Amino acid sequence: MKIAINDLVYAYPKGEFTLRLPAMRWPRGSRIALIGASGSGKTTLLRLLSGITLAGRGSVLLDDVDLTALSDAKRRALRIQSMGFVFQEFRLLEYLSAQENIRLPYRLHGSLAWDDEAEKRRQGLMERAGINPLRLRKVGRLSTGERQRVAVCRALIASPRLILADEPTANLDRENKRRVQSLLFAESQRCGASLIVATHDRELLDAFDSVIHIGDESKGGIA
Amino acid sequence: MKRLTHSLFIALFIAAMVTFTACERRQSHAADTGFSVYVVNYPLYYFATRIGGDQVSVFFPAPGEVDPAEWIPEDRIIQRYQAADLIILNGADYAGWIKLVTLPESALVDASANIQDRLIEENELIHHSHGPHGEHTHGGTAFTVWLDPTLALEQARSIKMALSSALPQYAEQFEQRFIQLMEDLLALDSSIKAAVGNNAARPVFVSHPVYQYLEARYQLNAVSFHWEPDEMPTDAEWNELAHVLETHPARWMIWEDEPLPEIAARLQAAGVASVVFNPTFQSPAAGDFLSAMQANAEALKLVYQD
Amino acid sequence: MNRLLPLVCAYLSHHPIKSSVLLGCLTLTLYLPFTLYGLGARMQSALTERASQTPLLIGMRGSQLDLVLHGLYHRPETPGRLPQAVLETVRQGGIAKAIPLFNAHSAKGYPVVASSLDYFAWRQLSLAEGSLPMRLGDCVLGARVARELGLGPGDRLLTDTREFFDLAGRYPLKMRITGILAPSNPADDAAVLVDLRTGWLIEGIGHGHDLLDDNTEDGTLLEIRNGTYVGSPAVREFTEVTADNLSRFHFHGDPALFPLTAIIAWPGDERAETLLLGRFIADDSPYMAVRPLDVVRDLFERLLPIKRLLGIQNAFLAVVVFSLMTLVVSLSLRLRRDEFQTMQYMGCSRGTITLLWLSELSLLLLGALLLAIAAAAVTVWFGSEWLRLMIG
Repeated sequence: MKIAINDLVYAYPKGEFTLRLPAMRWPRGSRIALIGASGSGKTTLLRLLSGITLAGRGSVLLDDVDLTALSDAKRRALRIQSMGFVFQEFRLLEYLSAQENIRLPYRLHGSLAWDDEAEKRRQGLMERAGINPLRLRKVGRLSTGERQRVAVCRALIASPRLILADEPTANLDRENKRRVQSLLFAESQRCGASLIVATHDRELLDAFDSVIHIGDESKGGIA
Repeated sequence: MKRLTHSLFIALFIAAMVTFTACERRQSHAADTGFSVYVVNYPLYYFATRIGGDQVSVFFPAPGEVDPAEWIPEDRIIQRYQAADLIILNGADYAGWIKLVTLPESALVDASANIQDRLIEENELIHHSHGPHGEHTHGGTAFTVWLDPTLALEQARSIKMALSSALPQYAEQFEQRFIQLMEDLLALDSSIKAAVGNNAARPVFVSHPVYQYLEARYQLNAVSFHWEPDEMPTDAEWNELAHVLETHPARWMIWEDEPLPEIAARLQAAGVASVVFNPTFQSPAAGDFLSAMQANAEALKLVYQD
Repeated sequence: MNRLLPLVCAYLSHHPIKSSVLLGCLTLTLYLPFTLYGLGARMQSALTERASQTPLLIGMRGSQLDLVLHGLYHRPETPGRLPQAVLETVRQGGIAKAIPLFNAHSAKGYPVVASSLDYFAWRQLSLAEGSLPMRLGDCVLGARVARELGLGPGDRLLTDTREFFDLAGRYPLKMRITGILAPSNPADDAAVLVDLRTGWLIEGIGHGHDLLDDNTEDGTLLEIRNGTYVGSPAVREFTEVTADNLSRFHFHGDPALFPLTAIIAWPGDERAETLLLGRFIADDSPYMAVRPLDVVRDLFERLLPIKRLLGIQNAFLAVVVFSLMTLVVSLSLRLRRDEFQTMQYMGCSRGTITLLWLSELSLLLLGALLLAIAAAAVTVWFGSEWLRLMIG
């Protein structure tokens, strides 16, 4: 997915600070890392890019479609059909098993049909994430690391064109970190998806096309 | 919220729908081919058989050796009466047992219902008094109604009517047979009338008070005793006879059954001959009601035509 | 909907206690009105059915309801006693069939209903065991009486004396049980059925004792006054009818005056009914003829305001349930705010989320509805038995 942002300004409702982003453009298949201190606005940027949050000024264009001009319903539809989101706090449904959590997007939207291919994809993803044996377990009974990998699989299941991941490796050991990273990279490549990852993990940065530092100097500026 | 109210509405609606639908039970009456008629004495048996013909089965279950008037049927027989389609009673307080047993009211037919005004009250009553109820009476009505052929005819008419209303499809046949029976009974009446002739006032004795209707019909001049044909009367009873003879010079005693020869002989010695007039409580040894009654008429000739 | 159902089920089964409590509350709130409606309908149908099987009841002028409950359900209250002669008035001209009822006594607390054999046929009562009453002193037990007393054919049952010292000198009668009825209707199931004359025997109108005549030698014959045999109070009255003493039983007085408590009558047709009603319609007639169905309908009409009140109460209940449900739903929504937010973040539409929790609610409601109907049905089933026992 082609991404363009034009002079985004987002003021936090409680008035802590204002996130300002200059015009930026990334071609389809870009791999972008967002780094910055906690509370610098990485998560906010991901939300702005996905249309969960709307900026006060400026615009976000995905494949030349202005997100800010879309209705809420259309933004949601675009999100569930074209984006995969790995939330920082995972946001899994406790009462579902690991595989049901991964299947959730298909449950929530009629345009996504769960077919053999999707099932195969789920299996592949879980195997590569090393959690397939746990697929029937309720996520409440999984370790943090396992839950994180379930969250990653859920983001990837519908073959999104834009993958947004908020600290997807924060709670993983070295091996699993590598696993998740390669999963994200491989899948984004397979789908031709752009991948935007907010991370603290400087070890990973080499693999990205560009690294954006957020909130370094001017609070909301970009380095 | 709209859905919620909707659901609640549906729930209440279903509750309201759980109401009753009245269902009427119909009584069905199974078609019955065999029609059973039970009676309480022989004359009724005879009338019912003659009128009913092949269309009905008539039963008179009292054993031959008992007096049906005093008989009390055992449970087994009561059950047969209970199962009857029609139970024909003689009326006139006959067969006291029918007041002591349980019979289906709707099946009961009192053959004397239409001759109530012609029934004869008995003079001899037994009163008794005890306990808090005070005095009361055991007594009743003379019951040998059929000894008057015109009353017998009325009994037969009641039977015909009961059968016709129970089996209307055979009413015609019942009517025809009844007319034949009527002719027979009227002929019998003429026979007895002829037998008595003009001598009805001639004093006679009767061994038992069972001939009230005969006496009434033909205006016989009879005095009754309580003598049993198979039991020698006591001296007191012989004295009573002698006493009555003084004012009632009878030359004949009419018996229900052949008296013992010694009784007949002693009577004869007193100038009183014996003759049998069978009241036909039970089926006669030979013949039927009509032939027995014709024989009775013949017997009366002896009394009144010598 | 099919997509969402597994989510709903998973959620409900993941929170068994919460789900059960919700289900239970809903069931209970629905159960009460269902049961009331069901019982009401059952009672109405039972009363109406029996009433409709009884075209006319004739009794002493008085409370129509008393007469109907007496004639239909063997309740002891009656407007009074009427002489047997009225039976002839009813049958006069053959316009109506009539069954006499004399129900004034009890045995072990169960009403002793004296009637004719026609009663059995008319109520379609069949025997489970034994036979119908055959002679004086015989009785047939209703199914419930037999069950509760543990008695059967061949056993004896003593009638109750109303007072310890019965001034009328009535002795309890030891009745012979000849049969047991198959279960039919609660009123007859709980009754002891006897022949009308047995009823009068219990009443003391008839009795049996040793013959008082010239041969009486035991000192019970006090004197013979004008042909009347006067017995002492020590004349032994039989307390049980046996094959041997049956012939010693007799009744005193004019049978036309023997008492009845009600007459069941059914006229041949409408014209006959009008004629028959006409015989009892006069203001000065000591008797009355009532149509039980009319009386029962009238009763229900009089109960209508109560029914309406019940309806209002149910409406209030519905409001309460509605409010409770609103509370529960809003609490549940708050608890699940994060979950629904996640779905929104993932791009789920508001409609789908609404549908999701509405499905959950509907599923609970449906479950509660089924449970309430089942529970109400069971209650109505057993309750109506109890209700019938109460009426009967």
